[in-house]
Amino acid sequence: MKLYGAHLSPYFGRCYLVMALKGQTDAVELGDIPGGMKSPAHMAANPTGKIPYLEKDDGTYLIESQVIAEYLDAILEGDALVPEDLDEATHALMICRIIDTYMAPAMERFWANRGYSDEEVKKAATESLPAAFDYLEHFITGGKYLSGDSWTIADAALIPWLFHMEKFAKQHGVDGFGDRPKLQEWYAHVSQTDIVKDSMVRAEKSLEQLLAFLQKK
Amino acid sequence: MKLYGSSVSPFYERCLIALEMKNALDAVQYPGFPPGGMKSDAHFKGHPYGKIPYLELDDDTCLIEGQVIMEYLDGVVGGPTLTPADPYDRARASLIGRIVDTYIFPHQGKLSGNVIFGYQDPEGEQNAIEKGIPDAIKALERYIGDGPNVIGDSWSTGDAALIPYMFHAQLAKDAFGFDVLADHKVLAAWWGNVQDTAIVQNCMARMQKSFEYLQAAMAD
Repeated sequence: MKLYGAHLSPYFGRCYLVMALKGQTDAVELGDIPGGMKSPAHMAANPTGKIPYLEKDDGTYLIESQVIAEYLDAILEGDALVPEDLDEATHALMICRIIDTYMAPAMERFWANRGYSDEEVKKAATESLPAAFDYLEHFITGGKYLSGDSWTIADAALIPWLFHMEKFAKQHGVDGFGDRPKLQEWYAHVSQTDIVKDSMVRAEKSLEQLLAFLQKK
Repeated sequence: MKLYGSSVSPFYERCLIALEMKNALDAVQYPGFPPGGMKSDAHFKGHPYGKIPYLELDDDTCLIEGQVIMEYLDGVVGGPTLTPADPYDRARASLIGRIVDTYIFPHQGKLSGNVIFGYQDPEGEQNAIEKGIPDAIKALERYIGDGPNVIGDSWSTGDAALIPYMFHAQLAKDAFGFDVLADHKVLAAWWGNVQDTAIVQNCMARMQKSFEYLQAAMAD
């Protein structure tokens, strides 16, 4: 199996974190997109032109990070990140869904390459992202993890965004999770873990590589 | 358990059709729109964004997001499972819902919004017809199997997510002459296999009734 993409992508990061949390980072090969983003090879593998995508050993592809993350969780050894208990699983998956549907679109407004207007970026910083944080605060369990009392796929979904908060959202006046005690408690715990520290280092390195590539171009 | 919403919403209807596939429609109560109407205080109490559907559990907590609710109902209610056992098939079933939600409906919503609510966005409508929906269907078709169902020969969450889209595709065909099945043979083959089943017919009838109810309410 081979996972295509780059660590700067929080969606690629989610899949990688699933492997890391299961202690299975060697189980899947990692690769850059052949020919670069939206190359013919990329579009043939994933017609949405997004990353990540997973090439299975039989040559078929899976797309969409949440789907890939759940698939990797199911087939790799290690602790289940989608809990076996139905209530617990539903809660973790609902948190992932809130991240994808409400928080991610706001956070993507800070990506310079997307060409959003100043007004759109400001709206994300002052309205949509705070609203998304409020929703998360409403639904998360509270404590060291987002869902229940151990790592789940929900943590894998949110952790890669911490780099984007620090690097991009902050420039637009978003100061961490603000006055939201449950998210703050979660952050205070996870930010001290190697899981998060390593994730930040991978994303930073990936950003440097991207900037060097753009400069050369 | 109480499921709030309206059948014209494909995200609400996905939960109903899943229950019907499990022969368990009576496991849940259907109060319709939230008490006091959309965006009422009671609605925001159940769903912090004021959207539908949401499922009120017996302990008064609420689940949100159609796909999440459907998967929960599949697990908690008796009847045949809609979640394939094989991990790759399971991924395919969940991708169908994901593609419908993330790639089809942001575009289909422009067309349905015009037909149902009279919204006007000519540029968005044109883009949906020429590029947005065809591109999304291209990605979708890779994960539809040889039939008769989306995955193999039994209903899955993939069918439950895709069938309600077909009602909206028909709205787009009637209003814009946009026939999504004309250029998408895999989707058309799947639809040919399932469209005459009681599950699909009942779903279409619920959605039509809900659509007509909304049309009448809009006319008032």
